[in-house]
Amino acid sequence: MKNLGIGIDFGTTNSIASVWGNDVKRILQERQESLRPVAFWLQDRQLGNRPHPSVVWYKPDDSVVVGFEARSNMQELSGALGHTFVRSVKRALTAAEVVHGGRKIQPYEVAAEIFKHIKKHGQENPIFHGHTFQSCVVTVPVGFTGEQRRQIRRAMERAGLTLQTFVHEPFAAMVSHFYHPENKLSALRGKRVLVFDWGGGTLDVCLAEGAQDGSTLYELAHDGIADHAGDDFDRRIMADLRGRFLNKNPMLTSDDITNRCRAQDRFWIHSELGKIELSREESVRVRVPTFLEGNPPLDLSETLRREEFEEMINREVNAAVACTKHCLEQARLTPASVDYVLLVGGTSMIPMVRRRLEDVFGAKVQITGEPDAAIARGAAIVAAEEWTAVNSVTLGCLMARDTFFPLLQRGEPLVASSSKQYVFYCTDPRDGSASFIFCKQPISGDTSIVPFGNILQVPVQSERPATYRDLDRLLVRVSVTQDATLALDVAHTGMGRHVQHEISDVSFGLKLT
Amino acid sequence: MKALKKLPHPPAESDRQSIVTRLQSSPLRLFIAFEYLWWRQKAGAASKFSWLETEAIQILGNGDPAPKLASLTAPAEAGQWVFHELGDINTPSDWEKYIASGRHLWLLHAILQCAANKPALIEAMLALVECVEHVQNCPINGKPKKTPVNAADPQWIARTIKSRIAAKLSLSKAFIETIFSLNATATISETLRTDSNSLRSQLQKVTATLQSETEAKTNAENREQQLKIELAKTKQELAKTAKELEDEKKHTIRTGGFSGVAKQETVNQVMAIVRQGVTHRLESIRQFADREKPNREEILELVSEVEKQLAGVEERLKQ
Repeated sequence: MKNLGIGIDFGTTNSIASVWGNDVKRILQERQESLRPVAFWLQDRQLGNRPHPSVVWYKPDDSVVVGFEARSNMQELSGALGHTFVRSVKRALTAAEVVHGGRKIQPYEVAAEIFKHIKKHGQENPIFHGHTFQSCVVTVPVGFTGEQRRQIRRAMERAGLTLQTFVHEPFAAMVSHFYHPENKLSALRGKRVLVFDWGGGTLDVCLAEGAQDGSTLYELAHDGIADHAGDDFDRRIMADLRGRFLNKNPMLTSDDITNRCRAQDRFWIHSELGKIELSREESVRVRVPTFLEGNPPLDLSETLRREEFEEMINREVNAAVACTKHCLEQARLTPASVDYVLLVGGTSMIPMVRRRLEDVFGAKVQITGEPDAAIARGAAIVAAEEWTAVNSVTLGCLMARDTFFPLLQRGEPLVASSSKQYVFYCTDPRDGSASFIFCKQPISGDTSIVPFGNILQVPVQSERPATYRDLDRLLVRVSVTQDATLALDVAHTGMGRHVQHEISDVSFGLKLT
Repeated sequence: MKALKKLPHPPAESDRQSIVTRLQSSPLRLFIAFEYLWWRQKAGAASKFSWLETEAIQILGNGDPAPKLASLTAPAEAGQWVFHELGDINTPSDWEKYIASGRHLWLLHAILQCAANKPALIEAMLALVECVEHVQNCPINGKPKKTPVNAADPQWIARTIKSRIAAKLSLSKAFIETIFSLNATATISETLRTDSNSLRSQLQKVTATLQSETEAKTNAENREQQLKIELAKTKQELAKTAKELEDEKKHTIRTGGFSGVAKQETVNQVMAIVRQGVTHRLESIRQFADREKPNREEILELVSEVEKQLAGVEERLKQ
């Protein structure tokens, strides 16, 4: 194990870093604290230990503020001249740039500000004495494309960080939950775990399996929902409370709220706190003092009952459970064949979510401790233990007579050294191109294949040659990129043309030894 | 039958009694008894199952003594026995009642006993054919029954030969009788086969039911056994956990409370709960109070909520 490994959970709503390693263990032993990765919390007066909000605030003087301060001012100053707020940049990594003061800012540059903020905050922690905050493991959602991963890496480089490896967020949470400082992940030998990670931005469901010999953790299937999570539920609560407020004050219109409300941020915080408390209480009173300014000022004070909230989110919870079942179907498994179901993320703490999953899986459902930091802690463990990413599903292409040719086998490391070179011959060039149909073997131990992605067309000589020797010869170089994607470079040896292609739908597990 | 075959040798008296009781109460007892006796005859006299024979004969014959046609010295006596048995059967209605009562199985059982004694079998069969013909030709309401002529019927051919050609060709009476016998034998054989098939299928159903019941019982016993083992294991674990708990309790008393790590964690947890539940309420109280006209009602409610939160924390600490 390394002396210090850094893990970063770069989240849609919140981000946090965590550290683990021999030095951290020693410090914790000296402090008589429990041996587990240390998370760098933000100490918030109202909310207690909180991760850093993934909000970036560009001020008129071009200075940048990140985190809680940015979020606190977002509601009030958003739309004000010269102020630009960017939130949920993780969802928009491949979207158009942000314009601030006539300057175009790329999404990865915004993400870099968050990384810089986390780095700065982490370096201030006394645990970092004698170490540098540089090489780290970063978690990504299971549905992230190669391009999104590349943008994250660019953002890290801009923030002065180097990428050790990517880990899927549910995997990191699972590692954090089952890790033991002495026995490592021996609890997962031959076990199947379904991780249900529902946070502020996305729902990620991932089905993983530990190898019998304890050497590898494989991902069997994954699924997710990108646009319905905790933040959307906050907004729904806010809309509901706003509606009630207007009903009580019929002389007011929604424009009055827009123009006179200077308490948007407090309104958001109190709505979120109300949502969190509803996980423990049957009903909660949401109060926003001086919700509308005036003489006298108007206060918002409404009681929100748990059943009302559950009705608001019922459709999304149904979709989440369906997503879980679909994930199982992909791996051709049933709920009975899963050993543990792990709930991660703030939204998973909603009792209705747990109840609905228990209806499907029974008593196998477990909740990870401190859901906001579990992913970062898992990433820190991976960093300290120096575990590497491996391919979980055999990828290949379809050859003549429907023969499957594997390009990257299950269990192969997802590092640049695993590049290979093949020579293919185009046996039927009549349409002027050689077609690469990419397939994968999604079920371990089953040879059935499933096509995925686009077909790669490589131009060849359209006349059929008379002899075997004259067949079009294609030199294919397959390499794993730093972004855990598969890059193909196809060169026609006769025509001298090159065609490049990238496969980003790579499922990755972890090599534990 | 399978249940019977599965019995250990020698079977226990209780098992025997159980089989006999079940047989007596079964609605298919006649068929089962018939099948059993036929099986006994086919399989040879295995002493293992001889104890049921008396009971089966008792059931099949409804108390009549066993016919024992196979051991008769004169084959003609077999025919006489058949005539005696069917002496009261004169009309198709009688025949139907006879079949419905299941008595025909007794008759078939008696005839099948002659399987090894061919002259007796022929006599018995001929007698049966004659009785059947007698029933078929019985007048209905005083009028002779008109049967449709079937050119493919060997009986009809035989009669025709006898009545029209026999005189010219001087066919012997024995030849005609042989044709009759052959035809009758074929008919009886066919009837027997059909009866036997239906009996066999019914018997298979009964056997399957018996088998499934036996399997269910075995499964239930296995499960009970497994549950007993699991219960014993759980009890052991429970005892172990109780012991560990006791040790932990002693250790806690000895160390005068929590260990350093646990204490720190508890403090952290409590502080987090207090912060999350109380701080924002205090902030709200400040905002409700710090203005020209304070909102007294909300402040008081918030104060009671804070008290409730603190009581909750206290409760957790006690736990």
